[in-house]
Amino acid sequence: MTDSEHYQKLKLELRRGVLILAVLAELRDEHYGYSLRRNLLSKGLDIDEGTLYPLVRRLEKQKLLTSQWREEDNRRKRFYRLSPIGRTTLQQLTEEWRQVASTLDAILQ
Amino acid sequence: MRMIDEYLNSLESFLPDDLKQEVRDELEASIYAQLEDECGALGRELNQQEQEILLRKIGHPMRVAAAYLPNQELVGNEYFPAYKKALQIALSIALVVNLLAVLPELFTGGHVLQSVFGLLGNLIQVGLWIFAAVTLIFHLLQKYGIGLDEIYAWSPNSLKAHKPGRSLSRLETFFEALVETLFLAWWLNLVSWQGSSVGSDTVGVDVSMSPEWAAVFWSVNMIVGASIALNVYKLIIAGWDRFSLTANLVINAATLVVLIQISRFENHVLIRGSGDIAAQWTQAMTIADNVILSILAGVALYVIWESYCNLRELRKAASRAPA
Repeated sequence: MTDSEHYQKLKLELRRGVLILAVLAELRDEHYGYSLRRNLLSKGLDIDEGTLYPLVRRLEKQKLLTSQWREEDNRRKRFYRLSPIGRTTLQQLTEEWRQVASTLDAILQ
Repeated sequence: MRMIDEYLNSLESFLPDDLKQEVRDELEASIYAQLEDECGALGRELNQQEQEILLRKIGHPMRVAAAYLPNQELVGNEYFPAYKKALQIALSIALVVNLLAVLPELFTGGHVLQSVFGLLGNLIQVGLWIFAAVTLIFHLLQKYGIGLDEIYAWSPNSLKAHKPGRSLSRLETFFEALVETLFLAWWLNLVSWQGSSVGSDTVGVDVSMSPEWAAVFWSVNMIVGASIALNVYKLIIAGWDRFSLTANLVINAATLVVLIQISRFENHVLIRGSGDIAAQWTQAMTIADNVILSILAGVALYVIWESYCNLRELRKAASRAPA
């Protein structure tokens, strides 16, 4: 495995845990799959459909999100938003993230 | 749009029935929204090649479908260490049982090669069955989430004592035992071999083992027999311990004595020729003796090297032992 391949693999691992937090945070407002992806991309987080949509479904199964099928622009779309459990979890995860980030900053300096 | 439809059809084919429609609708909405966005940005319809790039970015339908499915592993990483151990134990038992079952045939049947191929074929068949059965059991345990606490139930006090030492490959040891068994079967037949005649009536030659080999018949039997037993022991404990290292040193010392004894034979092979070129057979006998002596020297060097390694390990083990 080359240095670049190692980097790509580790980068993916590093991002994997962070994605959940980003998706939960973005779903404080209602979104359907593509609009969620587009919003995340506009903020600098590029997630492919093959990762994002199954992740959103898993979070819904875990009751962190609620969803609703609606017709918009002549197309059936599934809209997701944070559930009350998801809101509490997001708050806890955000606190955890800030703590981890400050600890890592101290370590990395 | 035909390409997108085919992509979605393909994706559906990899999904279970209860997910097909939902996933299709969700992805379809996303793809068309993305398409409209890109058309708006370009001010024209996307051509075939651009549509292809868009679909390629999403990924192979099988991979995308797999991401929607629950656990895809037969045995996940939580169960895997226990699964591997169970497989090792089951395969080792099958190996020893098969080896023991075939031993009488090796020494009495006379068809050594046939028995060996039979043993290998049987081992592969049994191995595959064991592999399938153990995998299935662990897959079911994992699927229903049972047994994990029981498998990993432990206490620091009840942990089995593991002596640090040289580990060994079970496969290597198995083949060593197999080669020794084959050698023993060959050796037992060889001593009773009466020799054979090669050639025509005018230029005939008799080849046979020297009667001097009878002097080492029992010593070789005992050394090889002990070595096979030691390899079986190593297979069971899956490593070297003080006992096996010492036993190996004793076997190696005995091997060296026997090798010296064999090297002092006047002749190892008897080749008696008749006819006009009888003198040439005497020369052939000298060449055969030299070949055998070279082989003996090679074996002796290997035995000395192995003994040196064993001694080094024993010294290490002694230094690790509590005072």
